[in-house]
Amino acid sequence: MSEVTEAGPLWAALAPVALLALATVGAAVAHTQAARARGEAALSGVGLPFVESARLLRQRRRVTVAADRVLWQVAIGGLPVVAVLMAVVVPVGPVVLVDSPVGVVWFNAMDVMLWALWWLAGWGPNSAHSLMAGHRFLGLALAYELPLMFALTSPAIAAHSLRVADLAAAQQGLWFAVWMPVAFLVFLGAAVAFASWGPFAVAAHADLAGGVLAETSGVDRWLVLVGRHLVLAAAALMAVPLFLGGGAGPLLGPVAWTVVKAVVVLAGLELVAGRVPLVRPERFAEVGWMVLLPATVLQMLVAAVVALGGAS
Amino acid sequence: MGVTRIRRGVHVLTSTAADGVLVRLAAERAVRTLGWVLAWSPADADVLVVCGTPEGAEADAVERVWQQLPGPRARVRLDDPQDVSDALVAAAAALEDRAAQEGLAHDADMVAQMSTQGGEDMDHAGMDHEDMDHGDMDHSGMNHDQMDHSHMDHGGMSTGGPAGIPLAEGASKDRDDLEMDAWHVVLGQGLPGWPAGLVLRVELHGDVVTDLLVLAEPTPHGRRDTPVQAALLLDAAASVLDLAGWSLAASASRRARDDVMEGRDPAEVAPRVERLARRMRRSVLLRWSLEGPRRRTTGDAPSAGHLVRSRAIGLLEAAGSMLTAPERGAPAQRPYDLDDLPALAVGQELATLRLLVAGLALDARVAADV
Amino acid sequence: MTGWMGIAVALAAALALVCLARFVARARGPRRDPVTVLPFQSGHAPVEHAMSRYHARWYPLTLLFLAFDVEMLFMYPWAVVVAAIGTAAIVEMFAFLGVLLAGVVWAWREGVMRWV
Repeated sequence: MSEVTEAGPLWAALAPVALLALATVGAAVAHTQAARARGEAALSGVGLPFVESARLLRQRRRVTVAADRVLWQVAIGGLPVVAVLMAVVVPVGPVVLVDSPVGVVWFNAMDVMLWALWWLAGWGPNSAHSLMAGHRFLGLALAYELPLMFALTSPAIAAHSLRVADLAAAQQGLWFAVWMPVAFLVFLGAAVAFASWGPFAVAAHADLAGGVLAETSGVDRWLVLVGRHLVLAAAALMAVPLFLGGGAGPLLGPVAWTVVKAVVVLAGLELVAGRVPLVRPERFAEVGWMVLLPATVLQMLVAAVVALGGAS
Repeated sequence: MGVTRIRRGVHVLTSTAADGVLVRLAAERAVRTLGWVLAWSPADADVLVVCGTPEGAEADAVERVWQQLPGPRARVRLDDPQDVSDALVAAAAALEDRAAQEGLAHDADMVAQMSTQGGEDMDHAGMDHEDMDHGDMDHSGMNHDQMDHSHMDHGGMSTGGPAGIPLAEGASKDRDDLEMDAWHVVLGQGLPGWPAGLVLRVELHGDVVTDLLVLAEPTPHGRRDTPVQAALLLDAAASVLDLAGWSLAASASRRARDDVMEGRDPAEVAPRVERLARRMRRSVLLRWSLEGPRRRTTGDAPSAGHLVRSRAIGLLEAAGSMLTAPERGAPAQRPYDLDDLPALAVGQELATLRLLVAGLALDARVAADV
Repeated sequence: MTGWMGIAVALAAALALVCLARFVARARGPRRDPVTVLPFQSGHAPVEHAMSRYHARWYPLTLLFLAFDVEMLFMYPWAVVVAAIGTAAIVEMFAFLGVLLAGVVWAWREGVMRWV
């Protein structure tokens, strides 16, 4: 059992703000890349998350005729909330908000909530483009979710625990990312997918006029866009104890190392946007089920055999 | 730079009439140099830039798109590429004008009241109904003409749907022989990467295209200068790349386009274009995303995905060769045409149809090769 | 028990942040009430409501998914004890997974994963 202390409720109240700060860094990276591609100066994108936020927060909201306003709002507000709930089980150095014995399962449960939220975001506005995008997301989710579950299970097997802090502590010799590369890569890919981002942005892409964003404006749009970066930030934070040795590292303290690793992972996730074409669900289904699923099952077998060797 | 600081990050939706293609290129270039962003839908936009002069039904559609901008909003109509920058700066200033915005918000609410109560707006809806197949809607005994009138008179309430809009109904069996709702989407201006003047009505089962109707077709232009024609091909390639999700490559193609339009030496731009074409040809992911896992065997009819990919690469290659050797001026060969769209797109997803349309490069179509 | 407390506080704080954003937007925006618009169809009125019986072509995959998802219920507790129980646990679980994967291969051959 590794030693982590649960931070008090006051810290839990600050969790959304802290995650928002991390997500802002991520958004700045993404905006910078897009701005540079348009030919702007190197650092001109750094301020864009704030420019964009100011723009959206003074834009008028918009509802469509005969929209399902309740479910639409559940989806919009739900994205940032679920992202925060994903992150509460992740230890930052020696402290964690919720030291759950089943933290890995909790994270998994929260990422499945995103299925409902993206679909509802498509259903709510009663608009053709949005609805198609919402359904398309489910098609993708069916293919990434199982490999993701096995990718989450592999480190748990190696650590004999579902407690996230135990996973971090079990990597004192070697990071799981090094000897479980398949699980690590699948986790990162699934993170991009459940945030509907980059090559997996099927819920919000230009080919359906922005998909679930086609009818969303003002603060609603802001919440969806911020929610997306928050989800990416939460996933990047989770990758640290899961695969990258938690807060372990020389010189800097464990808190600093957790943050540094999370920022690096997050930047990688954000920079995927625009670099490769969209992966369409009907193409990915075959890969997800016939390649990634067997690969992650084999990865799990390796983890189980190694765990057995270590235990005996 | 200017005396006053111009806002950054304004989102611009372009709406282009048949005569406004070159104005659109100028507007998109100005949007880029101002650090602004092109919007994907009216909900995303602060400024609507109407390029050229829309007429008739097209003008009505522009008006409706304008009323769908959330506000603060501004609209500019442009005929001359020279006016673009000043007009955009003026539009940005109009976004800050509280009194004017208050008036526009009031307008939007009035329009909303009419459209939800089956007023003026539903008349247009009735007009749009022409040549639509009503299938087995519940107006047995009425012919289509009468039905359209009933729509107009009662604001569509007779069909029983909320807000005067009927519910989708099962028109036919779907391809798995299940009874499914068929629904309809009009594709036209305001969509990202959509050619000027083209309006399609698509019948869908889910997101599968089951029928396609060309409501309005753009008129081809007379022959243009070689560099302008090359820029239009680059523009079309950027549209395909954007829809395919490869937005960094799309940005590269747009920058090459803008450089050509600014009068940069074509020989300087051409190597960049050729490099981009090479990258596209080599990209395994692009091939997989558009064509799927199976390679085409010789003698097989090319699928929509194969055509889109080869067309996108062909657009860049043609632009490159036009820039290196303007005297040859070889126009890109179109592997499929507007008439082939129904055969290619039926049975495909709506997203594939969007790619096929962008690959047509209709904005670059010249009168001579029709 | 403190765990649930932490989750509850974080949930409340996240909801508060969402409300704060809404409050700021109401205070700064041009109008408090949303504008009602027709759904975007390139300036054409919708012919019918979007909410309809949707042809979700991936529906056979959902059944396959369900089989695996139920299996995940066993997977998580198994992951904790596999090292303690030993080889028997590994053999049993992977035999079970093998049966499920055979089902996946069958579904693949039936074309469940291709829908265009």
